Amino acid sequence: MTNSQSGKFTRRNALMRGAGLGAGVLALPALLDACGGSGASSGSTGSTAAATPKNGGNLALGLVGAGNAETLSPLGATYLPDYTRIPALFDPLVALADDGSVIPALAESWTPNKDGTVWEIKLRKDVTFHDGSPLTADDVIWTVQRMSLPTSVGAPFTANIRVKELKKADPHTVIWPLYLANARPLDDFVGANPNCYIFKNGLKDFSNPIGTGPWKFESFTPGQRSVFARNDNYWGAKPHPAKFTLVTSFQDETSLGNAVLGGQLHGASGFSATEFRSLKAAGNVTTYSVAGSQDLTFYMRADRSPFTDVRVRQAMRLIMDRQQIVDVVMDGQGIVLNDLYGKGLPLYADGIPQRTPDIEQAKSLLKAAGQENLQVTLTVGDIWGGMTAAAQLYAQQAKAAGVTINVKKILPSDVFNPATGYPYTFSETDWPLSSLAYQYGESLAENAPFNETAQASNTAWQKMYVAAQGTLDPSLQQERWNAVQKSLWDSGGYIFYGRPNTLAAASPHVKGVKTDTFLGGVVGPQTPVNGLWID
Amino acid sequence: MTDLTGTTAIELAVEPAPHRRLHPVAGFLGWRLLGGALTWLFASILIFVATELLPGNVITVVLGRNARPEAVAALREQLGLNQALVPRYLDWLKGFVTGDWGFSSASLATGNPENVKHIVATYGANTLTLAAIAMLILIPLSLFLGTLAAGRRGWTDHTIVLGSLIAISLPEFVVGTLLIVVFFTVLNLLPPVSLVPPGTSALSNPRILVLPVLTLLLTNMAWSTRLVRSGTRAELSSDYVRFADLLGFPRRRLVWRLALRNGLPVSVQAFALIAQYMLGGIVLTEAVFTYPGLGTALVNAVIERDIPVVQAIAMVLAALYIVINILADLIVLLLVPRLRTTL
Repeated sequence: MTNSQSGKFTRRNALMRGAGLGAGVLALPALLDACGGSGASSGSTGSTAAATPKNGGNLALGLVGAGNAETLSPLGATYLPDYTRIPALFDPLVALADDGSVIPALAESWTPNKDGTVWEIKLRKDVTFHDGSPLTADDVIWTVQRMSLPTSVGAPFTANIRVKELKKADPHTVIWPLYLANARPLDDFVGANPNCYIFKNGLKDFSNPIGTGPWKFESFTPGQRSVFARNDNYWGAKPHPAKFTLVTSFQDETSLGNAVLGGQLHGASGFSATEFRSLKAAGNVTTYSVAGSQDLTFYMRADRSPFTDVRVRQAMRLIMDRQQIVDVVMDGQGIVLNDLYGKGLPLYADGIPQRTPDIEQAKSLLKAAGQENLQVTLTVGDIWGGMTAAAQLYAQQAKAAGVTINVKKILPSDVFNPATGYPYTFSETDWPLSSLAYQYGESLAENAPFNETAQASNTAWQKMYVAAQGTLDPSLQQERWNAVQKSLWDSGGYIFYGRPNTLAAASPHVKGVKTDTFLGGVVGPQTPVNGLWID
Repeated sequence: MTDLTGTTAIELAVEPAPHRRLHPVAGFLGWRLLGGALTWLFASILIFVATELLPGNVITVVLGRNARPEAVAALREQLGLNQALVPRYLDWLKGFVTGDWGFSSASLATGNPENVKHIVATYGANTLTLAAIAMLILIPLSLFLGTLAAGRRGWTDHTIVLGSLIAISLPEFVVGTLLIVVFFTVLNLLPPVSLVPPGTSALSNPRILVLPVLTLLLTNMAWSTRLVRSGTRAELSSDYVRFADLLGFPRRRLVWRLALRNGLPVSVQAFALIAQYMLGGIVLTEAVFTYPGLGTALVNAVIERDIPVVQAIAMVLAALYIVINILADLIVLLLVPRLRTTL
């Protein structure tokens, strides 16, 4: 049962870290109009512009679940259901807005010292926890301390923070000292990342999760469902429904889709292109195809033959027809990427031209490298439903350049398993959208825990990268980040090829669905829920 | 007069009256219970070893990409995975029999400890409800249809046999999906998904039980019906039945009171097997209807390498299987007095 569109391993999709795109809506005041609702929307009318929200009701949404691994603790959040529940109960320091920019959330402002090694973070003064107590610097400090524990999933995001020297200047100001200068110290704490949400000082037991978020805890059974109630004292835009139930007892998308069709759920998300088609055909639900939140990529280890030669890496990138993969594997529901992570996020180098396939150039590069008729093994596990299909299509495309790619299938649970060889010489993976700092810190930086392309040993690039991170001047900052990315684009080991749309379906009575923003859809990474209402 | 169960009065008279001996059935029960307990213990060792042999551990499986070496090392310590196998097994066994079933490892790894007992109780209650309802319908219906088929050759027999043949050939999930298509997609009469909110009983919304029960009936009844049928038919052609027939017993009595009753032992074992299957094996049916039962919980726990949960569910199922076996043998014993004399 390794088909991950249905069956047990669909939970691995949840490992796509959902589109943790951040709590932009939390920080935006009042109501959001649906901005015309076109773009990726499909199905019957998804337009909700100028509609008046109705309060009340119990909004019941569903996702394929992750069993007992589901959690309400930011310190252990790993699966898509977690990405939806944690932003409901808690708040982050900063959030991603609809357009992808980083905006204040719990943190109102943050200012650096001269060289960007110590920051002063000012918190909002009007925030209270669900138990009535006010948010103070102590809560933030406690959260970061807990995050830095080795058992915490969020520990890497505190790696550059001198955690022991965190202190409060006053009840609403945190002094945030760093090891290395960083112009954007809160990028790892953006709401896209569920592991960085702020919880109450002293909280260790998340069976009673006290947060500051738009929803209050009522009940939670992992692998089954959670029920939250609206927080009427919320500092931001209050949700409309009185209750929000997230049902995650589904093992596969077929029963998830049936539940929406049968009216047992108001909506659900995370469908494959195939299931999406049949939901569309059913006619009694509104389907949404919105901008996705995970970047799919192949990776080549630059420290292993044959990828030690940059010409081979370049050739492998030139062979790929990304558009064809999007069209075939994602049914056209997705965007093409340019071998770089984070298209559309702050600091992304969108001036670099989109790479297109060039078989002749690839062949000559391989010849120059002495690797004509190259044979490589591509190790693939279906942590996202179409990964094997994408690999097989890539292998087909490679034949035109004389390259033989042998696709070797492994279990999804082995994709990140060091015991079976992760990081593999040539493999495929996905990266949830969060911030450039997030992905670079996890995989490209010198002490990155997931050194998938052996970029850590590229000392020249590491220097460039550290310098870019520490550049406080905004225009110089973008220039340096552009150079950092150009270098990766020229000679790096990632082959980012596509970002699949998030496919969702909902009852026509569900309104307020945003379809052409960074944070759209029905349910998934947090945000969508907060703007929805039941007609 | 001949005792119609095959033991003659003369035989009974010759048997010495037992003095100061344990009633044979009680003795039988005693031995079987002891054997059952030993089997249970042996099963616990097997289950433990089997789960341990699975590659991977709960931390790397559950945390996936988040399973950094430091996190794995720290959590291994916390979850006691660094302990040697035998001490770990003994610790667990001690906890289990004293009622402390521990916490789900997967939930511990992600920071939200869930009590294993609570997990098993929730899923178990749902499974018991579904199995009980299905068996309550299946047993009488199989007995009725099987005997009907055995007693009347001709069209009744052929229809029942053919029907059961078709039902047997369809896999569980195909039957379930077909039922959804008919009763939901086409007729819109019943819900396609059988969600049971935690903390509520499956019976509080009986409509969600209809399709799963129907699926279980269709896929299992075929088999038990055929066994009842063949058992009853075999009895019908035996000597004492022929003799009774010659003596003028009405046909109906021959079939329903003699042949059926005496052909039962095999069917009892079949019902027992079906009951056991419904308790732990109906994973596909549960998946098709998203019914939160033990099979689903067990499979999920195995995938997550959540050993405490796997152990607990497996032990509960093993205990139920053993008890059902003993019960089945007991019933057969009560049905066939001849067996009691050989105890």
